Amino acid sequence: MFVLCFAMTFILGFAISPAAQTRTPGSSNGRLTTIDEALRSHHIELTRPALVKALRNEDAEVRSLAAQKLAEQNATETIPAILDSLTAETRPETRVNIAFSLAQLGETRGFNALQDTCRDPGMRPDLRVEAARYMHDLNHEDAICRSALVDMLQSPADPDARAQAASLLPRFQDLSPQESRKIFQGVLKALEAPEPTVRLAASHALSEIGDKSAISNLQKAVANEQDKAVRSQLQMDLQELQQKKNQ
Amino acid sequence: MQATRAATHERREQANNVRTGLELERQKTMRLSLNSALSSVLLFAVIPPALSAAQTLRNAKTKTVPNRAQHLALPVADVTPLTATANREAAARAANARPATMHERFATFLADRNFQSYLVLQNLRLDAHVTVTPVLVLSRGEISLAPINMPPHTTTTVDINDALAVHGVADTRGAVVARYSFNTYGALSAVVESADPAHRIFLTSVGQSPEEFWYGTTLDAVVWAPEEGTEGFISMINTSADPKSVEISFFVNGRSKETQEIEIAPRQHRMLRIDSLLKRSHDEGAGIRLAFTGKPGDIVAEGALLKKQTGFSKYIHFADTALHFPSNSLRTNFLLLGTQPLADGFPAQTSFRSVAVLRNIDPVPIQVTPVVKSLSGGAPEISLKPITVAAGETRIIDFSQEQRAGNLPGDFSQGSVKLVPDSDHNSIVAELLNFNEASRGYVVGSSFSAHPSRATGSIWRIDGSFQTTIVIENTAKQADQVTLKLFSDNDTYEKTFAVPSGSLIKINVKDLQQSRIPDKNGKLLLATSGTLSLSGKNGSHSALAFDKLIHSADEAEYVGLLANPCNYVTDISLFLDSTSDQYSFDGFVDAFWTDGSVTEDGAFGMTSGNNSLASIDGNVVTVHPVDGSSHNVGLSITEVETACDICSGDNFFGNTQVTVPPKPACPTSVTKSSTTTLSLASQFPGLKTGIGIVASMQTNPTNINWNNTQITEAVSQSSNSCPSSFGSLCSGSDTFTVGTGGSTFGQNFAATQNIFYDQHVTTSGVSILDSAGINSCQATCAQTYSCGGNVIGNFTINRSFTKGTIQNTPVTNVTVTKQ
Repeated sequence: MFVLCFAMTFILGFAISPAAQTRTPGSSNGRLTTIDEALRSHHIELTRPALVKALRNEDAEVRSLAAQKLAEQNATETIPAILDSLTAETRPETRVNIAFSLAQLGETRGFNALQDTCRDPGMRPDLRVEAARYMHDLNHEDAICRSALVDMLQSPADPDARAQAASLLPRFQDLSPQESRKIFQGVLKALEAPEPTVRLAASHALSEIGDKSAISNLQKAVANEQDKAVRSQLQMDLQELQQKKNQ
Repeated sequence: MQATRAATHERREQANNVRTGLELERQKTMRLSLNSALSSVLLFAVIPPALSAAQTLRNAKTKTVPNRAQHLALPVADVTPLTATANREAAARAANARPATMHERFATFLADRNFQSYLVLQNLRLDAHVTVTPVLVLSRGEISLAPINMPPHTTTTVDINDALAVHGVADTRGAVVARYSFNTYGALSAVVESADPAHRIFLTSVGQSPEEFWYGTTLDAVVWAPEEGTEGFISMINTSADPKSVEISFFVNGRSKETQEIEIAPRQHRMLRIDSLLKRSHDEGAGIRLAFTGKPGDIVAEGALLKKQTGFSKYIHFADTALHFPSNSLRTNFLLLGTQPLADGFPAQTSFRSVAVLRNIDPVPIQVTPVVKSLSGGAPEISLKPITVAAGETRIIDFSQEQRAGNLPGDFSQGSVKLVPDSDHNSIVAELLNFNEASRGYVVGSSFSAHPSRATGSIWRIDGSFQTTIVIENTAKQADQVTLKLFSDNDTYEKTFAVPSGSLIKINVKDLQQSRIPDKNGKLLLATSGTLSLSGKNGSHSALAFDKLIHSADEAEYVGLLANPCNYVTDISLFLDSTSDQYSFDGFVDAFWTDGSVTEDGAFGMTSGNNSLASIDGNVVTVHPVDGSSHNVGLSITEVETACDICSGDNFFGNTQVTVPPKPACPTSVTKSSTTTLSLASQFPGLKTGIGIVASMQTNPTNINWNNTQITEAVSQSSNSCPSSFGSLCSGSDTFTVGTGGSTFGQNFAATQNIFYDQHVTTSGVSILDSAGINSCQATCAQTYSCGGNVIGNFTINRSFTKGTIQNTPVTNVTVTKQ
């Protein structure tokens, strides 16, 4: 059973394997592939020398995983090697991951690279969101990243990024009243987006934010929602928010 | 309750015994000062032929107690409960259970043909009896009088003249010792009243404890005589068992004019006249310095100025120049100028002149700024022009002249004044003289002695034309509330007064009665005399400058007990209280005060003997079970508290321990910490259906490190509107290892303590909604997390499938929520 679970996790979780690209949908509710498992699947040993060497592996995923494993090991002596890897990295998604590893090791240049990713409007939106999430996970709430997320939230042009921004922004705590208001208004506006995925993300974000003043907006959204599945989720979010109000 | 409150305290006496003078110098931060310094002075006051205040008080409410038949002057009054909880009471009992030790207070008496002397004793404890043995220190030796058992907050008097007569003693002056056994020396105050009604002279000598003077062996004073014919003397008592040599220096214009040395036999009293010095003090005052060998407190000194023709009198305070205070300003709350409000009951036609005399005790010049604050409020503090005072120099500040010059408002009549030196240490000694400008007598008011403290105690009386006036300034940055308790024969009147930060309030005790102002229990003030206590509500953080004045319409000066110099802390206790979280405890520090009261503050500043087992955040202690065993961790705190009668600050130590229980096998719950949405766009075009979320799940309680604990899941379908071609959406039977990081869809998740990651995703290389020919559908799964066979978390996972496009290609977006 464990082997089957791991197989499914790995197939669905890490890479876009040929199986995942088949017409048969796969669903998973389970653990992530650990970094160790992923590296072993690439036949990378978990020793320091092997990991440092893997930073120069031709497979970008291996480079990313090796950096992450060194961060897990708190291998601060390898920071120069990881920095070299960051400098040499050309794939944006791998750069973001390597920067995250450096930041976990407390390296300022890792944080700077993540901040640069947030700041860069030419960067893929999902990577900007990912960089913002990494910063947040490291308790390094950053105004530049927050601002980038707010921009994405307010941009109808990229529904996927808009939904992701709506999902991530409720996590942020150190907001000025002005920022809070801006985010709240942005989420309320997203609730009226034509894309169901954006409406769903906005609805859930309102539930997460827990501002009872959104109840009427959610009630209105439920009433106006034409899609049954979306309406069902909106109702659940509304119920969740109402329960928070009562607490 | 995790630990005992009192058992582990270091006894302060023990600590004091082992400290060297240097250590004391370093460790002690003086907080307050000369209020207590009043205890080291001989107070003179002018009285008309009528009874002195103390006499009236005695006659009204107590009996004169000759040594033949001493008995209690005031019966026990209701004792306000000191503690709110049984725990606190237990802690107080524990603190008070320390062994009693013998203490002494020394005062001077005059008993010649003009003077009649009484020893007035006050039990300052609100909660305990104190037994006092008066001892007369005479030229032929000591005579012990009968012991007196004093109930809480009561006074009693002993007729010294009578005692001398009974024992056939011819001495007309000497010292009297109040000897008592208690666990602190602050339980009792003693005052000798020496009255010469024929000349309207009334002298008060407040008993000093040698335990009050820990710092130095040099005492400084400043004097000023407003006119010719003023007499004066210094009274010195050797409190030790050895002969002491005292070097006395007089200073005029900053220069030493005369130095002499006198020997004082063990436990003997000496008086020295200073008339010639006073003659030279008219212009700018004069200084006195006493220096002795031995230990601080071996010699206690005080002095007096008087002029029988005018009824002028003024006590002289000798300050220990080794003292250091956080605030080096000297204060008094009774600056009186001109005529006073009728309600205050001063004699008709009295118009006060107010003069301060100060002396620089530093070896370098200093600048002193007088700062005046009016009792009537409104105007802010008024800073007068700074005065430069050369080393050792004395100067006078004539506030009446300042008012005439327009530097003080013309309508200023009552207020406080502080003298602010520009140095960072105790640089000045000063006296304030408020006297009737016409008669040059009727000297009222205290000296520069109102230094901030939490509480004080004294007597009060409002019989006849007597008035008791209390003025309080809140010198703290936070608002305070003063509780005034007026104890009398059989009742307690208790009232609170708000004192905003920086404000000055006046309480006219007589007005409380005349205006029929009820106390907090609705009771009226019916009695006319007794003892009083004053205390702020902020415990050790209260910084209230108290002053009290008792006077009558025709008797010149406050007579009776000076305000108890300082209600100080005898011990502290660190203890923990449980919270709703079994692993967290609130730390508190109880401070046990000399009057028997207990104040409680959050224990901020605790240190843990093992931070990984017991961590501290603010005043909250959180224990962290780590293995199958329980562990004890020591906690400690060091606080600076008001420590003695001269209100110094001293380090107190509180200790307790907390037990860290064995670590349970499993967390008690799992909660959702956050979710990360996985972007379909990032995987497009490889995926055209997807993706979902990674949920960061937290194991609780978080004070325990659950890393490497195995959590299992079970997932079942609750509802599903999606076609069967979507496959099983609610499968899952994984085992999670807490604290393990991972990676999915190109995103990394850092290994985080007490967190495990659970992903809920659906993916396909095609848009499955388009393949199925439907617009949307939804599936709901029920998920449980278990550990050790027990369910520790229940969640609902919702998957919403909706259509979308990426780069004009139809896709199926999978939106997942977890609740």
